Amino acid sequence: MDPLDRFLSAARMEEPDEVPVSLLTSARFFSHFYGIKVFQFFHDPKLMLDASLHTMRLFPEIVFFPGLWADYGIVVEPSAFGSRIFWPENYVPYVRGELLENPEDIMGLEPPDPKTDGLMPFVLESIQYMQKHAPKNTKYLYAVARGPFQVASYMRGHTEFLVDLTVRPDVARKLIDVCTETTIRWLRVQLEVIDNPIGIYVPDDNASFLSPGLFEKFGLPAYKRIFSEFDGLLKVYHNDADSTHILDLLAQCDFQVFNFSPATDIRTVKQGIGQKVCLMGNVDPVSVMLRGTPEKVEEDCKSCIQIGGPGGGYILSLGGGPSMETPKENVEAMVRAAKRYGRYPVLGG
Amino acid sequence: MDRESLKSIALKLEALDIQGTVEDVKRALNEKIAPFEVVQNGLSPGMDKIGEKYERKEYFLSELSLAAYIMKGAMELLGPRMKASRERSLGRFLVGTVKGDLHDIGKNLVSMMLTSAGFEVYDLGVDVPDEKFLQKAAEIKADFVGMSSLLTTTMPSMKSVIELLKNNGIREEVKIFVGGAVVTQSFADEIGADYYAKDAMECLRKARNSITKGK
Repeated sequence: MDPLDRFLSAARMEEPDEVPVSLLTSARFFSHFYGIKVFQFFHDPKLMLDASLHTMRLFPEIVFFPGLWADYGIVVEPSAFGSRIFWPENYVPYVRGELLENPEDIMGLEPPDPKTDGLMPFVLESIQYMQKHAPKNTKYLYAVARGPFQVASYMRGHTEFLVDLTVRPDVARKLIDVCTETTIRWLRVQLEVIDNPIGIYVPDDNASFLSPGLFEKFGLPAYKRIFSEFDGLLKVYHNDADSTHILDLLAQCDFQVFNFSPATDIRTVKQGIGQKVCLMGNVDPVSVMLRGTPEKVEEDCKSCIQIGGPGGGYILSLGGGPSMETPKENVEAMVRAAKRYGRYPVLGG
Repeated sequence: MDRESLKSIALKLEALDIQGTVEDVKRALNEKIAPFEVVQNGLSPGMDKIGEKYERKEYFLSELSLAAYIMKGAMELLGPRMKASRERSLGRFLVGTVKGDLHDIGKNLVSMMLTSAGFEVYDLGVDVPDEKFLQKAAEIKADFVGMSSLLTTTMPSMKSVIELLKNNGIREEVKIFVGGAVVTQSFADEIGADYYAKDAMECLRKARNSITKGK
């Protein structure tokens, strides 16, 4: 099996020949390994493609997910609404200030047009560029859109949005509805330009800031709506905040792969949502991958494999994106651990 | 009577009763209870309970944010009256997210927990230049400086702020707290911070202990 087949087999809840290894595609990580500033990665689609291909070739056993990706971080959706974007020289862009400081501004809010608004048309251009110029064996595979809770939080303010859920529930619901519709429209437009898409990817860390009661009321309907729109495609959800308290609710959301945080215990995840959904995680990207020794990385990967691996439906990965200065040796240790301990049948530890 | 009013504030805050907490604070002020007493023996025990519930995973960030909202309402009533009795605060605590970093949820919760416990908090916001920490710490004669960072790329600023405080002769006047998702105890030790706190609750606990025990 090649690494991508292995990944897709696990995503179908099967046992591949061995546990697949995946890292999230990251502008920071790719720029670092290609020796350019992160800002340059965004500035030029050629550099974006070259940096991506260069890093993918450095680690051929790793499936970078979602593969080629015009990754502009959190800013694409908020920019389409009109948020102010801040571009550091060597980090991913960020939303500065809150667009929706007044709750009254929310009631008249409409979803943006992905073909014309903010950075969305530029992302579409970058997708088309990469698709046209990438080698035949490296396809653009997934449409990516941030989930409604992350987008809402960045436009309204993290704390204010959480307060709205209780103090101004009508306002919060309106904002979530508009952001949910935006996620769906944005995914659809990308799917129109990607030649042969195989899936969608929805990262949304902020959903875990809600209590189970609030998530059931606001999160569950939004997620069910998003994921039910894309049947027939592989649906991947990422949340690198502690999600322990909403795992049972997430299990009802109809996605097929769950990339989760090191703060969420892998054993609990495997025994619950992991019976239904492929798990992708959850080695600590900072304390282990960035700061740990290769031995520590291997040890933690072994532990994840022994808990997540048995029965299949498991992809060895980090609980979040790789930090830009992650040592090469630590990435190699991850691959080594999968070869050493991840051959099926994998027995529980 | 005093004790009942204060107990009621604590219970209502713990239950996240927005209206009830503010009404009780008004009532306590009408009963001529000193504002500092309202904070120390009403809001603070209420926040402690909320912190405990958060640690037991009965409350989540949504509830902590709501508590911050209620606290803000209460402090709008109490703040102006407390200025006069500054000497009774637990100390002046300067907080901010370091340069290049715009994350503020954790820092805001730290501000709230400290305020509710009776510290006099000065919040510099996000993306705070090193010099601003120095300037404000000197200006307010801070007892504590708390820095937050969520990015591996911005963490080094914590060290440069400490250096700056050192070079300007006020390092020994303040207790330095650091925290944020990527910060660890060993990093705190390495850069010469006095305390590492994994979350707002731990920050408050350590800040209180530092008063009774020294560094």
